[in-house]
Amino acid sequence: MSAPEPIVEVRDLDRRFAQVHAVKGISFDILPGQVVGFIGANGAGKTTTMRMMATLERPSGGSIRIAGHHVVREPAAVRQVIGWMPDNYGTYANMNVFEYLDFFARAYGLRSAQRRARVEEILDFADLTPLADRPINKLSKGMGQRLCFGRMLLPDPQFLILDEPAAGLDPKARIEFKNLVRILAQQGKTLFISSHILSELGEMCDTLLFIDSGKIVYHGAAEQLRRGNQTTPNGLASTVQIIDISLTGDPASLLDWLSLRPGIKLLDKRRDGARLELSAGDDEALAILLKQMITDGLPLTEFHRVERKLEDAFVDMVRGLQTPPPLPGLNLPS
Amino acid sequence: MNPILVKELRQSLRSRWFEIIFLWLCSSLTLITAVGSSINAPNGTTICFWIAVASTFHILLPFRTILSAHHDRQRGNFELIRVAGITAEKLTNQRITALLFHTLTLASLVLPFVVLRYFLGGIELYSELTYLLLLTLSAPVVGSVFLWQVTTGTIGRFLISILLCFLLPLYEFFTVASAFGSGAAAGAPFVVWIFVSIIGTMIAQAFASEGFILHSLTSNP
Repeated sequence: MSAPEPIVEVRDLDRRFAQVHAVKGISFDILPGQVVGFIGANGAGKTTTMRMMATLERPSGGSIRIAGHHVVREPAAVRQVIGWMPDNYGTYANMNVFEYLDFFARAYGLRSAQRRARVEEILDFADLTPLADRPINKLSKGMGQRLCFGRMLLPDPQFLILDEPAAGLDPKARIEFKNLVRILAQQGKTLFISSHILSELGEMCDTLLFIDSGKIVYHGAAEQLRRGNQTTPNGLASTVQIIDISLTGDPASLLDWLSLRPGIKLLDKRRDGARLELSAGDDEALAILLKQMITDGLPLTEFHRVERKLEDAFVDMVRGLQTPPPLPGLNLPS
Repeated sequence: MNPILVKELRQSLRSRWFEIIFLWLCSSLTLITAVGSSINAPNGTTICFWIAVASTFHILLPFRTILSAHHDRQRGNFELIRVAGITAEKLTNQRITALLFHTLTLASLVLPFVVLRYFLGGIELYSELTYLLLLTLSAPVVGSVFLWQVTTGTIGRFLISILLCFLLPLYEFFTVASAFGSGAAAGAPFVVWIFVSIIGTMIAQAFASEGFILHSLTSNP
C-alpha cells in the first residue's frame, strides 16, 4: 500500500521582514487526518508560518502547497480548503451570534436554505444554540473562541489552522475546546494548532513540530518525545530512557548491580528505589533490562518508564541547540 | 444579497451613530421647516435646509462608514473576511453600496420635508427633488474618497484631506449648479458632475481596494 499524499507540503519556506528573518527555510509535510501541534517561544516564527499558510502573508522564498494548491499562485483555491482561526477572533458591534455566523456563511457563498441549515448545525456543534441571540461583544472569552471555531467550520474545510486557540481560556473552556478538537480529529479533519500550553498539545496532537528562531528543531510523535528523545546540538536525536524502579530490602544490592553495568546511569537514589538513565534504550532494551534484574534477584516491586514533560523536552532541545559545538582540533579541558 | 451590505445594514440600524444622525437630521429639518413656515418664506431657509442635508449625506454618513472600516481593520476582521473569499475590490464596492442604501434611507426621511416645503409655498419642487437625487447619488463618490483615506498611510491621509478640502466644495458647487441651474446653464455643470462622479468613484475605489491590500491585509493578493 502506498503512503498517503500529504495535504500540506512546506518547502524551504522563508520570510524576511525589514530587520527580522522570521522564518528560515523550513520544510515539513502534514498528512491528511493528522493533528499537528506547532510549538515555539514568542517570536519563534509560528504565527508568521501560519499566516503564510492561511494566504495572509506572502513568503519571501520557498513554497507552500495545501491540498495541491500553491498558496501564492492560487490563494482563492487554498481559501476554499482551509479554516483559519487567529489568536484574536474578530468581533463586531451590534451583531448577535446568529448574524455573525450568517454573515460569514454568506461570505463563503452559502445560499438561503443551505446557509440557514449550516449555521444552525454549527451553532449546535459549538454548543451556541442558546446564545444565538446574544450580542457577540457580550460573550465570554470561551464562548467567543467557540464562536470563532464555528465560523472556521462553516465551509467544512479539510485543513484547519488554529493560532493559539487555547490562550486565555479558563479550565472549563479548555476542556470544551479539547473536546471539539477531538471530535474534528475523529471526523478526519487535519488540524494544525499552535500553543504555549505544551502538555495540552501533547494530549491533543499526534505529531509535534517545534520551531525555534525560525527553524524547525523537531518533527515527530509526542509519545516519542515524552519517552526520552533528546536532541544534540547538531539537531540529531538520540534515545535516552529514564526508568523509575522501587524495590524492597537493602538498596545497596541495586548499587552493586549497577556498578557492573556502565551503560546504566544512576540519576537519583531513594530509600526504596532509584531513577536510572538507560542510554540508547529502545523498548526491547527495556524488556531485557527488566528480565536481567529479575534473573539477578533484585527484589523489584515497581519498574516503569518515566515520561518527560513536553515543556522539559522543549527546553532541553532549545538549550541543546544553543550550545555551540566544539571547534575541530581544539582540546577542551575536562 | 451581498454579505457586507447585509452586515452593514443590520449593524447600522442598531448603531448609536445612525440614531444620532437620524435624530440630527429629523430635528434640524423640522426646526428649519418650522422657522420657514413661521416667517412665511420657506424659500428663505433653503440654504440652511440643504446644508443640513448635504452635511449629513456627504460628511456624517461617509464618516460612519470610515469609522466602521477603521474598527474592522483594528479588530483584524478584514483578514477573516478575506479568507472567507471576499476580495478587496468586493469589500470596497459592498461598503459603498451599503453607504448608498443608508443614504437612500435618510433621503426617504428628507422627501416628506421637501414636499411639505412645497405646500408651504415658495420653492421649486422639481429643482429641490433633483438636488435631493443628486446628493443621494453623489454620496458614494464622497464615501469612496473617505474610504480611500482610511486605507492609506499617514502621508496619504494628509494628501487626501487636502484634496477633500479643495475638491469637495467644488464638487458640491457643481451638484448645486446641476440641480438649480436653469436653461442652457444647467446642462454644462450636469455633464461635468456626471463625469467627475464616475471618474472620482472609480479612482477612489481602486485606491481604497489597493489600500485594503497594502495596509490592512499584508501582501498576498
